[in-house]
Amino acid sequence: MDYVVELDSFHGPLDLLLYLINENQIDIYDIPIAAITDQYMEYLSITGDFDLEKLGDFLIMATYLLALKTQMMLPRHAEDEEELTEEQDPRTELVQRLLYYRKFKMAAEKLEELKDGKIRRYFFREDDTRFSPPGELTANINILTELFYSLLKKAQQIPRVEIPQDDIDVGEKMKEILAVVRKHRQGIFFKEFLSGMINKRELAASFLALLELMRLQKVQAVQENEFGSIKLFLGGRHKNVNAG
Amino acid sequence: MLMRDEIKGAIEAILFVRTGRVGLDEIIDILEVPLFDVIDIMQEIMAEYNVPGKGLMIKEVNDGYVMCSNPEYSDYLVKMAEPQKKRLTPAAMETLAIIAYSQPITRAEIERIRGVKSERIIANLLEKNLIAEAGVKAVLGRPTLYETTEEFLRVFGLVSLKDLPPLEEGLDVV
Repeated sequence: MDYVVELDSFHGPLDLLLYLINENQIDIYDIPIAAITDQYMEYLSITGDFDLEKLGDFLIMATYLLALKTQMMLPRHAEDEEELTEEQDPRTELVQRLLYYRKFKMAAEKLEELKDGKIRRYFFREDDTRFSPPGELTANINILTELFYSLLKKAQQIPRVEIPQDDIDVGEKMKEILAVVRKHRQGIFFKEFLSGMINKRELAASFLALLELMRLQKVQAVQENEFGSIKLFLGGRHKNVNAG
Repeated sequence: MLMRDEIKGAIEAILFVRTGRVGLDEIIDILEVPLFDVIDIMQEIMAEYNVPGKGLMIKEVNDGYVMCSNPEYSDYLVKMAEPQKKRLTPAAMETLAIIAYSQPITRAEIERIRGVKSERIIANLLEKNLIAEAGVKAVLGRPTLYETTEEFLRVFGLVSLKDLPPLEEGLDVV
């Protein structure tokens, strides 16, 4: 081989075979199996650190080629010396697979050209709503308040347990919320943040902390639909949620 | 009862507003006009639209209609198209082509053609909404079938699958 094309650049064993056939200007209907198999094996031997899973597919083909090569080398009866018919030729199946694969490989190239407008195509109106971000919660504080009350109610239903009354301060909660929101780049539901809190004072502090963070625009509260769950994002970040 | 010209105008407006296909049944529902009249009027509208030089076209698709640009101008529209978010790897394009031309098709069938495991690529195409599941094949194991989506048609500028470029001569899909 004059130069080496990385095995990685082939989409599979059939792709590699087509490449070899093309490089050697071989008639696809009359493939010199022995020569092609040798070249194919040479490629496999220089893979380096190739994805093992992908390598498996290449190895299956290698086995097949070697079997084919052996079959081709077996001596034939004198009466078969003439041209092999298609049915007798052990290469027929391989040729069919190669042709079939090549057809779709070419179709893929056509599709790419179509997409890029290299072939004349239709265009349709762009549907902006497909990418519109969820409605941003700006003025409607009622929902937050409602959520808070529902949690308060829930907190009351839980049997009272004496909990050490460490002073909970809003500043601390703000830091906690920010930390959680930073960690969850895809956003986190406020409910999730509050879950596990059974202390009224702690809930109140969290609620105040969120309001303060929203005011400072460090956190964005987003609600996908009316009365839906509130999702928190890092400030300004939510605009990219759908783009990413 | 609407006047014929009004019906024509209304249909035109409906097709403009909708980004995708408008079903014949929808038009009948909205305008409360008999099927026969709608078909007749649609023929007239399409005859007016689908002439060389026009910017817009109206195409018939699956018992419905869609408004789209005249391919004559695709050279220009390519320039205004948003930067391609959906660049696909050649391997993904290959898989998509197999699905597009042979749908509905199972993963095993795709892998037989490609000679490579294709699970990850299929998952990727599903995520990009270019393909969708299309039930299961009634064979052992009931494998999932895949087909292309409307999003696929939109991205590749096709009104329907009939617009797919023809495959290499003499080799029909089995």
